[in-house]
Amino acid sequence: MDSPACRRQPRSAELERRLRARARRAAALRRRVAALTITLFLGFWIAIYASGAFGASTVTTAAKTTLTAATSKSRSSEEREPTSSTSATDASSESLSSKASATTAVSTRQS
Amino acid sequence: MIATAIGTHFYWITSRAAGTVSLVLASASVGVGLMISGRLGKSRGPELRVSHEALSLAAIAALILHAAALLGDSYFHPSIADLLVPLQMDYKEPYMAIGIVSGWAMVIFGVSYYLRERIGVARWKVIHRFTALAWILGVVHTLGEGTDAGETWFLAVIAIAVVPVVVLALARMLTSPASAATQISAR
Repeated sequence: MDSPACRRQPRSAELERRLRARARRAAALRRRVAALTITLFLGFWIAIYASGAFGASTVTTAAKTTLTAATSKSRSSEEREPTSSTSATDASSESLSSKASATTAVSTRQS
Repeated sequence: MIATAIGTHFYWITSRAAGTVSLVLASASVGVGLMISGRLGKSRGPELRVSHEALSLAAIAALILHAAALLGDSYFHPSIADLLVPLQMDYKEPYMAIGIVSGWAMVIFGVSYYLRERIGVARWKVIHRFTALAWILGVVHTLGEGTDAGETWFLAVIAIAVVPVVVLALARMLTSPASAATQISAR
């Protein structure tokens, strides 16, 4: 006849096996969550970088518009007055370069 | 050129990516939490509990990275107090303050799980429900302040993360013991 201790033995072994299996499943789940976190992070990092939006779309666009307007203005003035003095062209290109540097400054600042 | 761009924007992109990851993981965690407390999670209780805990811890880790990465950003250049105290930094308020409050609430309510014996399980359960409020504040912060809030891919990600949680929350509210008791008493 089995003593209570003998009867308890297989039960505790079974319980231990179940607990070990549960711990294995839990560890696997934790690993999966860690892998998911890293994958999501890298994915979003690349997506944000690829989108090229570094937080300054409005300001940079406005500056670029000014730059484009300045470029076309200088071009049209050159077309209208092909024999215009060099000083005027220099002044125009000077303002153009200052606006270009402003654009760069805005883009960098908004980073 | 790419290296320069990455160098200039590295911390800024890292913060934004970590913030997005934090919201996605927090949404998943809240969703799993709702499943555990509702009828959906009865059969897979232990697995769901492990997932819920792991997702919460990962969301908190991503949240800490989201804030810490800003310390390295050359444009913002915030102090530690700017990132920890609401309304300290005058930038896109009130969404910045909402984000800080949400972050603190997420960390405090999340970590309170390990102190539930001291707090008292019944009291802790009541406190733990406020995590959902912290998550809602996080969504408000993301949409109000988020630099990527205008991007289609970002809005799609947020919708995928948020909509199932809202559906689960509604299902949970409709099938809660309180509403069942109301239905019975109405009969």
